[in-house]
Amino acid sequence: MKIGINWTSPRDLELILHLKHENRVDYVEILVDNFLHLEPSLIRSVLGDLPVAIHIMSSKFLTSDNSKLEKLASLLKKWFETIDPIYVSDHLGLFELNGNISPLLIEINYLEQDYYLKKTENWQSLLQINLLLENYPSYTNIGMNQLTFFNALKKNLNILPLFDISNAIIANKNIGIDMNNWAEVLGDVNHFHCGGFREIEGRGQILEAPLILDSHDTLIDSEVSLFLNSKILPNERITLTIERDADKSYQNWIKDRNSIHV
Amino acid sequence: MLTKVIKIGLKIGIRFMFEKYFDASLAKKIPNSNEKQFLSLIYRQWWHILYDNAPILLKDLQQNDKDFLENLLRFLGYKCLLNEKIHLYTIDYISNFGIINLNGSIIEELIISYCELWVRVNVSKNQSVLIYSKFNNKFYIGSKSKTLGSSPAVDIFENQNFQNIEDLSLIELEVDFELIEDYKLIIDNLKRYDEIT
Repeated sequence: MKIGINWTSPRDLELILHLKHENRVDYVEILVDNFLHLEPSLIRSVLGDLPVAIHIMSSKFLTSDNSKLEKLASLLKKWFETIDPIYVSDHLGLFELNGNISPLLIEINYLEQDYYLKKTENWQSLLQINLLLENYPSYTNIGMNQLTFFNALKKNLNILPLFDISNAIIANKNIGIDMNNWAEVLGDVNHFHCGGFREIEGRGQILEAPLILDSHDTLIDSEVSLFLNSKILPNERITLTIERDADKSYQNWIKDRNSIHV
Repeated sequence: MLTKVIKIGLKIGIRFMFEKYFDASLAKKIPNSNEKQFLSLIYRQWWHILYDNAPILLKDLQQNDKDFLENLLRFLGYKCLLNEKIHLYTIDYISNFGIINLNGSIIEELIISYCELWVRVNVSKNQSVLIYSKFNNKFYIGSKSKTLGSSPAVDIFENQNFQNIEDLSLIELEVDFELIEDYKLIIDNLKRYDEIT
């Protein structure tokens, strides 16, 4: 299994190079939104032949009009040509609701399956690559149909998840989706994510259980290793990106890495 | 058994009402639930953005004007998301509506926060955003990381620092007067949101 790190901002170059030179990472996953204004050749010039994955955050392919998507796809395809990524992934989610911008990605209503499948098919055809889609860390019951939707993605469009193990654990803790149920879509999946999570600070509300947030600012939970060891057959094509978005340091990343036991 | 049925029914009902209750004034009506806590989290995130980006304005505001600021920052963020071109704005236009008495330091704070939002959310080849304040007679340039290893930045120029338009050679410059009208329409239709309690 190959272990990688998420590179979310150009300013973190020093950390990335430190990890690379110490042979602590097998690949790097770039959050490409924050690099699109730069030339992709810069990435190759600093990383050499270290494998690179491309992760898209704000394409908003489910809601943007096609002219914007075509423009973005054209830019992204230049990155694909130069970088030759080991995978390309994007997010299922909404950035606004009823005209209100949300600072957090909102889960889609999976019951509108046909509509979202069509949008996904369109985006994949514009990008002209095999797109992976990350599963969502469900907070509300709208997530109860997420698995059905990923089954439909696989069946209708041959789209696999970029399977975020932590997000699935969060969905289990928040709304009770059984981790074992993901087995149906995981058969051909080779690319995984994991990241830290924590309880949302409550405001005095009485709930049956505290809500868990996909925060990317804590050590990786032991359930991630349990899942990998029990559910995923090891092979050289498997990749696991460890995500950290706060307190980014060499020491913290090594602690994250050492918290994975496979 | 009946209690279980009611509980399941309530869960399903809340799931399909989530979109409706995304409006903060309606969200208060949701019973304690995951949905309410998640909505509360979203609104707390917006308040963090206000505290981080507009502390001077917050300090000067009366209670009822905080709603305006919250909506204004959402609007600025929204426009960042909508626009991929670089525009020359006169953000001081907002002060013409008398909703809030903007002074130089508050205008500067709002413009800088706009620039900072833009460099974070703009997904394109564009390098920078340029804003001109007639009130302060200053240019504000928000720039994404110039190369690997560098950070985004907001630079401020007094008008007289520009010798000629070629000083802005790295930036596409386009005056968009329609956007100024958009500000008026959006502000006229702003909803006043109440914080979820």
